[in-house]
Amino acid sequence: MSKNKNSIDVISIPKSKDLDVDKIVTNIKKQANEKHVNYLKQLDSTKVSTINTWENGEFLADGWHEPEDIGGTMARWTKGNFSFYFRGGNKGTNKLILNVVAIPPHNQRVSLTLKHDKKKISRCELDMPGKAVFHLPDKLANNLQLFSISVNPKVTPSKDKLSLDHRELGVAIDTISSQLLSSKGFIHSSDLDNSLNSMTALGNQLQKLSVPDLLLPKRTRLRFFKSLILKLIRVYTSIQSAFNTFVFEYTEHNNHALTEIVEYIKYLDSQLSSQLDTTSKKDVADSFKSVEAEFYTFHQSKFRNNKLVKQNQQSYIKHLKPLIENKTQSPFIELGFGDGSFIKLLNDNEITNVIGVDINPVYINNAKEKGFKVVQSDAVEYMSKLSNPIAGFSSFHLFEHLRFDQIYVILSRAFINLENNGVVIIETPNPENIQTAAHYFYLDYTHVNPLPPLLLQSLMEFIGYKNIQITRKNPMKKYISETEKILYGEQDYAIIATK
Amino acid sequence: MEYIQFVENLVPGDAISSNVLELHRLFKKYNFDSTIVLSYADPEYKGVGQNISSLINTDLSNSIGIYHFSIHSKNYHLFQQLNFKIKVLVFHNVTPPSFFPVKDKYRIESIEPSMKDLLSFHNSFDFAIADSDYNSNILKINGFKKEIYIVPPFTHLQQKFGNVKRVQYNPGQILFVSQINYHKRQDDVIKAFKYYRNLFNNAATLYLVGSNYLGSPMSNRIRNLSAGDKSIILTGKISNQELAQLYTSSSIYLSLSEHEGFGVPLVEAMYFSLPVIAYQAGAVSETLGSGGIIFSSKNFNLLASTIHELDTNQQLRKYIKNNQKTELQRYQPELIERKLVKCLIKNIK
Repeated sequence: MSKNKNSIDVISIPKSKDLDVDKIVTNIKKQANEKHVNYLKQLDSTKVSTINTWENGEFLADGWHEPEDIGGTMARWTKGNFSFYFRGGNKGTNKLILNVVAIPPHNQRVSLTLKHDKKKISRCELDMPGKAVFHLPDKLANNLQLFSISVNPKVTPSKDKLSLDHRELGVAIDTISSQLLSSKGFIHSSDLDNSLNSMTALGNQLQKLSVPDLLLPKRTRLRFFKSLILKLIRVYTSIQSAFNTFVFEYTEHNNHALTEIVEYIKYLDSQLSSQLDTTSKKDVADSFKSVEAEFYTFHQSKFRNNKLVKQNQQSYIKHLKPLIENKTQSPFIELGFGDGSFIKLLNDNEITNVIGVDINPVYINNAKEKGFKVVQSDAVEYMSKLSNPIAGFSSFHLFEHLRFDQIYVILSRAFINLENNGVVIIETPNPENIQTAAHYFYLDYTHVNPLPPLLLQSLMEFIGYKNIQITRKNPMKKYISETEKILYGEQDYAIIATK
Repeated sequence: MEYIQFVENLVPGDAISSNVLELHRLFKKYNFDSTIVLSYADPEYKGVGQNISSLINTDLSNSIGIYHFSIHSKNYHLFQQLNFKIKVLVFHNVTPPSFFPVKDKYRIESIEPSMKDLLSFHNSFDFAIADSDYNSNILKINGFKKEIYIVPPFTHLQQKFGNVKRVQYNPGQILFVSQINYHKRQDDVIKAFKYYRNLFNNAATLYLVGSNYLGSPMSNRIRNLSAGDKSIILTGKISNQELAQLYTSSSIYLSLSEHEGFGVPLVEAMYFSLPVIAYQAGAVSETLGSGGIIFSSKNFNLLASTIHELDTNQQLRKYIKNNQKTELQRYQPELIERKLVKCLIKNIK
């Protein structure tokens, strides 16, 4: 079977008398090449001629391994010989630059030979990862061409017992470009760097010329006479010397200017990259923002025990008795009402003028459906604008989400507007319980700081609140000692105060 | 005389399982007792096989043990200790560990022990039956010096697919059938397909048929490569009827697998006169013969261009289809049965 096949070729179609198989194979090859080049030209016309080897695989022809993470950079190892389609730069500055991110393990030096159409163009040697620069002839400028590069020596690490890698490796490349790119991918001022160096060399040369003795080698015969002749010549060349000095100064001046330009470009480069970093941070934040509301509801439903909350709230009614007895007309404000359970409790206990404030639109809609009077607003903002008298306010598990200055604003604004027999109820996690303080508090990632009861009490006293009572609630289990209290004590506390 | 076949598992659609069942039928046809011993059977084959523990303390001196090998089995160790009159190895090959990542669970738990088993076969069996010349060579390389008979697996395709209505093929529809795994290189099939689509045919479609074990790295890779691409269809496991429809409606069967012990889908493609382009790996070129175009290296531009040529050049299609008819003669069930019976008679008197 296999004898009658064209075994040398990549493609083997069984030979036949009736069908010209060779012609078909030639046709297939011709088509492949034409179509591929046309396709690349079409792609290439829309982009800068920089190929990321791990991204623009279409431009790579034979001799490449799959893309992989090589020392933190996405790149591809090549085999001993590799080829690719590349469009050169403009005439005069036509270059091909490979960014080599790794060379085979034990090689001191690899040599890369660039070929085009089977003709050698240029050679480049590397002894460590870096840029391999090839200068291209003008006839290859601005045109998509197939280039091939052979690497010497190529290495198969497993054969050389360097690692378990069975692949033949040339070099690992991440970009092929016609421009020199900086580490962040920006075009770097290599030409400026070069001219800076050549300027310095020129300056040194001119300085030599102005001191004749420096022109003589260290060991020379008849030094005195030679020096004398040079000094004599100097008389005749004084005009030239003056000009030289002028050129020297001019070069120095340019040198400084260039140094500044190079520094400035480096500064711009770093600015740009830091700009990119902040953009990516913003992207990260945005991507969470899009799911945040959904996650928060999901998370709350998992960890919040609604039944326990409702039982708790019942116990506050007794503190509101003065309001019920006086039949006050001013509104009672419930900050962060959530599912509205406390509003309902108040309504059931004849406190009907209740305004619920919450920022979450879902809670607002639900409360409206239940017929509650609600305002969609940030609690701090609402309280800071408060100007009418209030019968009191309550806030369950809200203060731990606020900064201390915000807490001050709420408490002080409320105090100013509070009627004489008004009541304030605040419930928040109790950090006296070490488990709450160290663990459960952080189950809600929107919590800011735990508030020790004594801190809140002190602040309220400072503002002027009276009859401040602290009620600790929901112990984890019955405790008998002080140590157990710290471990298993009350998880929440409430502060109740009047004006 | 009783024939007892050992196989790791019986699963519908699996080439080795169907071969075991064919042999089971064959032994019964010649009025021999036949038993299948296995570790796991799909619910569809409930009651077909039995556990190895049923053989312990049984007199097997008049029985013949046939051990099907494709992967390491816990039963192998016990099988070696059983006192059969003759022990026969049916070698379906095993994928070498180098195709799997170093820390792959399957490689560590199954493939690496299989390579140890392979080295011990010379001392455990009296003779061997291999699916292909390639498999026979693998056995020889691993120190098996006893007689090896080359008998292709049973492919009762008429029985498997029934009568299928031949329909006009859809130009540009490419098919590959195999479970998604490292060595089957579905990723390369997708790559070649994308080249073909970009260079020649915007309307091309690719069907990848075969079970896809969720969560395996290769499966994730295939998923990523085909994500959002409406022209790449991962069908998962499908029924024989659906598979037959795909074989008849496709234009080209493209296999870029890097290891095949035999390659039943290649024979199936030939049965449905579906022109094949295949990468020369393992037993592929031997199984396919002149029934398709064979690539000795994966040049994706050339692959794309060849797909285009075979898709559009009717003369070439016709020529390949004619070759396939000739090649299919080798896989006639009657012929395989005769080969098998001949080798059994010669060795078992």
